[in-house]
Amino acid sequence: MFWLSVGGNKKLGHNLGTWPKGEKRPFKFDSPGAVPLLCNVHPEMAGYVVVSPTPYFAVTDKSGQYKIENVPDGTYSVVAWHEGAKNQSKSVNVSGSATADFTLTK
Amino acid sequence: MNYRTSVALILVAVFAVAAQAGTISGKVSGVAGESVVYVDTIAGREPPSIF
Repeated sequence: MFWLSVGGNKKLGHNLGTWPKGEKRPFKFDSPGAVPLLCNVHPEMAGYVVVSPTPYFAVTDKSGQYKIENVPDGTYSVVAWHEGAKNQSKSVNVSGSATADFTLTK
Repeated sequence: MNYRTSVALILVAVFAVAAQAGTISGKVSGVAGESVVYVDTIAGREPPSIF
């Protein structure tokens, strides 16, 4: 298993290689962003780890709707990510509730 | 329940509502399938971080 980059930083990409079934190899993600996971044996195998710098995140449902709860009041940058699309970020002021819609493009 | 107790309970309820954390909601369009939305950090404001 290997990943080419972490959050777009290719210097953080590396290869964990292959290991026996049941063995675990830890890795700490200390940079935010999307991490594409690839297999050097099976090119059709791929996955993504999205590293969030805060505990406030959500995965959208099939219609694209999302809700992030328990966010302390304040102004933040909210980022939307989708495989193959350009990231989009918006400044959101949270005071009770806030709405942020995104239209992503490839 | 007397008047003072009622007022105190109402004030407690008001402050309890005000102290609740907020919600960010919305929609991601332009792409098919699931997306991920997360709160990033900005200069001068650091929400609780997991790092």
